[in-house]
Amino acid sequence: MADLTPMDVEVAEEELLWAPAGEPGPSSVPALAPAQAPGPVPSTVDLARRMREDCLAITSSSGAGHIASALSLVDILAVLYGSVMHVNPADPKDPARDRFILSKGHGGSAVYAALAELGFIDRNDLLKNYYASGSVYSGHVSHAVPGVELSTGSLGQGLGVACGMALAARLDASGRRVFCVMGDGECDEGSVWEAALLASTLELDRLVAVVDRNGMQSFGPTDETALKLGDIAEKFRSFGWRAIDCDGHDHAALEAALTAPHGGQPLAVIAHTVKGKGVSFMEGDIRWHYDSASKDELRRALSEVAVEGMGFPAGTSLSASEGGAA
Amino acid sequence: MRNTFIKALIEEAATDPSIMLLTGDLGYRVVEGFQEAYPQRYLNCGIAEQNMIEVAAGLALEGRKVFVYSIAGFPTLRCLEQIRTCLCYHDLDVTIICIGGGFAYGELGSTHHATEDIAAMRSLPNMQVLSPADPAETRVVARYCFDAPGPKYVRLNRGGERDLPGADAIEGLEAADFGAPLERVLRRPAGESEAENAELDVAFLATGAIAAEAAEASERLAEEGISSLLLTVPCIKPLDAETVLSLGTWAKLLVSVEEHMLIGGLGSAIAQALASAGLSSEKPVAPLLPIGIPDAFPGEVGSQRHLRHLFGMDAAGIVARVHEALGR
Repeated sequence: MADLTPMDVEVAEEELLWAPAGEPGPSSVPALAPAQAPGPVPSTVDLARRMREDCLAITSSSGAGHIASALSLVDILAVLYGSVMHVNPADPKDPARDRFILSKGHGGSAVYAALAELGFIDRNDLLKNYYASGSVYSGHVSHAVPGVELSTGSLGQGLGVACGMALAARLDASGRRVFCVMGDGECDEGSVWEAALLASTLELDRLVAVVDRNGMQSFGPTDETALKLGDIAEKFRSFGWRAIDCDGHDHAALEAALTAPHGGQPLAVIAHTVKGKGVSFMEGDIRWHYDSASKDELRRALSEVAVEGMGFPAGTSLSASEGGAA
Repeated sequence: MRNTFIKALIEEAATDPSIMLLTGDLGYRVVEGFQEAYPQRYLNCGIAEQNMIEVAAGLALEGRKVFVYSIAGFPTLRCLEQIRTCLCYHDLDVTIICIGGGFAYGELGSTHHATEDIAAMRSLPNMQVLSPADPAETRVVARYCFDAPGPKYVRLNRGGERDLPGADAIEGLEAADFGAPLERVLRRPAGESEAENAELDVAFLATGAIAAEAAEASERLAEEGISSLLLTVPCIKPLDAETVLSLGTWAKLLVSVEEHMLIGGLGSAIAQALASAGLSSEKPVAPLLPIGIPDAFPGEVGSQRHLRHLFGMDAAGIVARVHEALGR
């Protein structure tokens, strides 16, 4: 890496919107609670809170975008990593592990946060080096990071890879499951539906697709600014999947959906979420697909997500509903 | 060539249980033998090449050695980004088998011509690009694919090709001799002429089935007293740049022959190697005459033979171009 001149640093800091006063360089982060000591697995709600703090901190300090995409995803990941999936931080390649692919790679900071909180990677290393030149922590999730199965970022590719993994699990006569989390806007990609068709053709009943249905993509609301995605669960059903709608921030509803019987078919969980969830001024504002929090904004955001019982809503009418014709 | 490769694959799969074959709904009367022998390791992914590459990646991540079968530009250009990101970025052991290299499906029209595939595959990190000239080379390339890790692209012609002269020597090669990384240019005799170092007029470097046209051109030139040597290049990437350079300081004229666009194929790879080496070479380097498809679609339908002739890539066209280049 070429040495930065003082001029370069000045420009770089301007681009970050804020420069940490008296702190050395753009990769420094505000003081946070110390990393969780090894011990009992935290509750998924606690895990989600800590992941939100991590995501906010690393995107803010590095000037990375996509914070709102990560926040909409955090509860899904917290339930998967904290409860549903069999994973082994001591042996990320444990053959019996469940496989996880984040197909919406731009939410990578949330995966890194989950891996850090579970001990796959060193949290301080993540806080220091996320998005940094010379590090492995690319903005879109990278397989160079222990615990990450697949690098993604070009949308629409994860579900097909998950199909291959689920087929291999069957051929291995293994009970491991394969989870693939996609964005809703990602479902614009035709390759998603190629994979959906193959998965039901092969009756891949260890495969779970989760759609982070936050209703937003690059220019605003999905169905208004781009393509009319409509009822995504119904689309998966018509492709031969079992599909469940649920509240994507209600941990009990998520857990119920993610552990529901497959009925011999692949399972789609349409997790209805709020983009930017947990930070009032980020929720539903497309600006936070692109911007990172200034120092003041970060302080406000951290204070909001740190509040005890920040209010994951109890099950709503969406919770684990099968929808559609009975 | 396609039957040769699949036959070798069926034989290898008997001892290697990790081998799987995926097809994009193509290979009627070609792939059924594999399907019958190993139904659990065969999958028709449907007419969905992007997903086929993704599925291959998922299987390879779980330890499978995956072969993907399709024709024309479908297993390369249609799913180029999946190849780049899923296969190459993760350096997965997946071999893409393309049938219909160049104008093999000439009459079907430009939609079915694989004429930019080498350029696209060459540019991808980790990807090895293999293009055998005849069934004998196809067997060696297949064996190489069974042994070598990482993503590989194999460009085949179609069916019914004959072995070029010198096939016996090729057959004796083991995959290990072929090299890993594969950096070998196979030498073939040029008719009856015994090209001596000092009097070599032309060195042909040809890849794929069109090498047969270069072989015929070499024979015709020999009858006229123009000495030449034909070397086939079954491995375009990595390219044996050392051999190419030694030829460039030996022959008066280098001629690359490929059924591919002039942009980005074998000729481009050779030109790049010569230009790079020429900067430091003590001896002068011969000029390169690249034979290939100009920057255009044919604009008319035709057999492989017709389209080669149209672009001056058949034996007669090659001879004429050599005359022009040598000034005699």
